Amino acid sequence: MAIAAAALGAFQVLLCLAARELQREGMFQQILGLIPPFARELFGPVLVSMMSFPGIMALGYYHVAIVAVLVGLVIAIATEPAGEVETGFADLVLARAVPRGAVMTRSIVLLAGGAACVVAAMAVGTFFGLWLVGPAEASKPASSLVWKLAFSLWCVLACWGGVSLAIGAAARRRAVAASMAGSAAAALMLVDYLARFWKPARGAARLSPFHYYNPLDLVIGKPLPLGDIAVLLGTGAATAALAYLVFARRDL
Amino acid sequence: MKRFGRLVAVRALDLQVEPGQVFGFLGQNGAGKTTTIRMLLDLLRPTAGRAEILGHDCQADGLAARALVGYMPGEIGFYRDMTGRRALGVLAELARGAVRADRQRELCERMALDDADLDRPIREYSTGMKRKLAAVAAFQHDPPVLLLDEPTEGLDPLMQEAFYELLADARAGGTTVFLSSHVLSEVDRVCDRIGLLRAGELVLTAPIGEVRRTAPRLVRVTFRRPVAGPPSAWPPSIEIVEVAAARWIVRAYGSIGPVVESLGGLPVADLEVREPRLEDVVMAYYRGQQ
Repeated sequence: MAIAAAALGAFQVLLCLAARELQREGMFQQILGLIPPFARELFGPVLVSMMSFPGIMALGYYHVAIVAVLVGLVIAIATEPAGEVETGFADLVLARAVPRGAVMTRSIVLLAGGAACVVAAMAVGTFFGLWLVGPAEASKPASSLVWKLAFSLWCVLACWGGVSLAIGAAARRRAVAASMAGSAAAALMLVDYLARFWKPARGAARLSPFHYYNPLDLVIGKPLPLGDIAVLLGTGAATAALAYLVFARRDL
Repeated sequence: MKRFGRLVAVRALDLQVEPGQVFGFLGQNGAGKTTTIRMLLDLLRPTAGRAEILGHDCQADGLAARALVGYMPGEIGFYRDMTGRRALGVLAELARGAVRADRQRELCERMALDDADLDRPIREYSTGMKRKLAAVAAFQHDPPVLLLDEPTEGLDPLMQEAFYELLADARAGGTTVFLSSHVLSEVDRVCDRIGLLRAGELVLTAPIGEVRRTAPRLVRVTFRRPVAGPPSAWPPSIEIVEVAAARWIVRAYGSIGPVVESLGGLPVADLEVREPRLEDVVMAYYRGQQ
């Protein structure tokens, strides 16, 4: 996790560097000029916001590869109880006067704290990048935007953490739990992307946590979507509660 | 009772172990020994019935029950990257400060785990070393009850001896021990009482001396010269095993007096009596003969 935090923090610095170079060369306007009108119409103001210093800087918070890595990290932490059941470490611990809920509490603390550390490292990387290479003439993004991006990303991770924990709490083998949670994340991410271009998928996309995560809306200046945040955190909390219940009742 | 889907792993198990007793829990693979121990630890939830440890219900009051227990599992799952010392430390912390450093050190010495061993990651440990570590972890907080699931499996003979000494000390200190094992000689040596589980059912529970007494003794009679076959009417407590010209082998249930009486007038050169063994009784139960 420390490696992931350091790598993603460093990546944010590189993104700031790239954004500065693109802006210095006037590339944002050139790239926008190359995009056909129908694509501009399809993406709307989001496309313009992407082709800006804040848009490139925010790339680290919404790029599919980075989000996938972070969700993968969260799944790895959340399925640890299944791993402990599989190896027998859970037997050694829970044969002592340790309540089963303690295993879940530890995982939730690790999930919430670990995800917070990683997104905080990303935010620190962004601030450091802005301080280090941000050109004076650039319209530097407000600090609040960086924190909103980081918080929104943390909410998605918290949601996936809860879902993965519920799956891991019921599983006997970690690989099974991780592959179930990973497949669900990949499928729901795909559904969310599909729904952006294909209307019939929009109903199903509401089931995807990624549907409630739109960082580019923040970049174009929209306020933090409290409804979406509530859905993500509510799902995370409900599935974490389910994980407690399942783990407390199951045979180990 | 414990059911896994259609499979009934444990049924008809009514058992009480007296405080301070070393109880040997015997049974073939899949008989339900580990399932029983895991139910006592609330790792498995019984389908029906209940269990108590020193008055604490294993499910309803599980934390209090488990606070009194030292457990050595059959399959040991430490984190591979942890050092032995760290693993013992973590498990000691879970015992809520009940572990004295000098006691832990003494146990490590007795189980031949030196500082170099303890500072190595567990992935470098052999099966036997992991078992030694698990033994220290089970004993280190001096619990009043020990639940040991095939504890000497994978230990070399020297370490088995060391383990039996630990067990003897625990017994002398009044610890109640519930030990599952396949090794009959081990049970014969360390246990006061045994319970035999067959296909999830308790088929025998008795003090070990009583079990031995109920076992038949083999009597080998050697004659000075060939004799005619044994008489047709032997007492019912005697069973012919083998008859040769100058040697008979009989199985005597209970006293061997009737054997001696039946040999009256015959030219007996030697009489050899083999003491009853726990194996004889247990193997008969395993085969379903009793």
